[in-house]
Amino acid sequence: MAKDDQNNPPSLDDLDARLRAARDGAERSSGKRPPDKSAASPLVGMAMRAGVELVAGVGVGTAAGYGLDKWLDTSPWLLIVFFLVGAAAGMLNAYRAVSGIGMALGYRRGTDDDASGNGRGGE
Amino acid sequence: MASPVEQFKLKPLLPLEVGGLDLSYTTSALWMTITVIGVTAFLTLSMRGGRLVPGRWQSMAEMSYEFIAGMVRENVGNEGRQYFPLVLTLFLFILFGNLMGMIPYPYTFTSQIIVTFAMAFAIFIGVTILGLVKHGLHFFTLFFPSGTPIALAPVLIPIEVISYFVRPVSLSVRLFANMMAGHTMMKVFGGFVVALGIFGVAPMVLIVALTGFEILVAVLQAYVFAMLTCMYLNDAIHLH
Repeated sequence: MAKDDQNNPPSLDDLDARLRAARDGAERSSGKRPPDKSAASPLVGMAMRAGVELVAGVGVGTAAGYGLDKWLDTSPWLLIVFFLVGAAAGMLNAYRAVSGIGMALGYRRGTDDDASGNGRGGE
Repeated sequence: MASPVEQFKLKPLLPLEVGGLDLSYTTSALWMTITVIGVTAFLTLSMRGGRLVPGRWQSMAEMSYEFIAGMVRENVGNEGRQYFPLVLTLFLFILFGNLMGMIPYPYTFTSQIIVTFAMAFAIFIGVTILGLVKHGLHFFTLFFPSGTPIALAPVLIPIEVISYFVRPVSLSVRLFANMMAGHTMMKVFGGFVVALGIFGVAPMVLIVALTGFEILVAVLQAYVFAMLTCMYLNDAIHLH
């Protein structure tokens, strides 16, 4: 290939066109890229994620509540509130992990799954 | 016989104390150093030839490069390209650490919560700063997506804030727990083999299967870590 270019240097227009074609190709292939080898792993990964999310949510909520209680001297009210909020956050995160919305906060991501490459950059 | 958690004990190799802080060079640090050297050697040596038709090593290096490049492009889009080195470094560091832990004797540094938490927390801080710099105060709409009834705000915002702060914890705990549980389990079954004498064949068969499973987990957890880094980056960059 290198030899080819040396013998016959392509015009800039030609190069431009080829670059554009290559870039288009790259973008298109990123969109419909089949989830070949990673087809199984996201599923297993997701299954493993859900459990951790539940526990981490409760843990972080409780820790935050405990810390704030210590600081503001409101024991035990913030602990109780943050435990519940943390549990809710954990469930939310687990639900998101499983439903394929990823870890996205806020959601509102429309239908995503495979064609995410261009869909996510939307907004 | 040594206890199953004996393997996670840190041994200081070069005792060092600076201002009351224990900065000893431990087994964990040693294996992190080896991992960094190993990854660097893997990438540079295998690409040294730079052939058009890759050999085995070059092929492996190119595959890991393209795998992460594809992951970044799919999950973050074109703007994510500048963060590709970060994701690739993280992925290879964790992958090598996990896989080396599967060889007898090396220390699995990813089974230390502080190691994984340091990585996860650095990502968390970096992503938050990135989001704030890129979007300013608009970044906080992440906690209250537009289109949600305003009456839900007092409930939703605390939940979303907590679920944001859960990220570094769940990211680090996931990797650490998987590695630690796996290695403990293998050690326990290894103990059974010795303790059961002739009947130790049964746990031995199990251990073979378990080793295969642990290698799967090692690769998978590196993948999940890199994947979630991409998702966090995507959140910070696009805010959806």
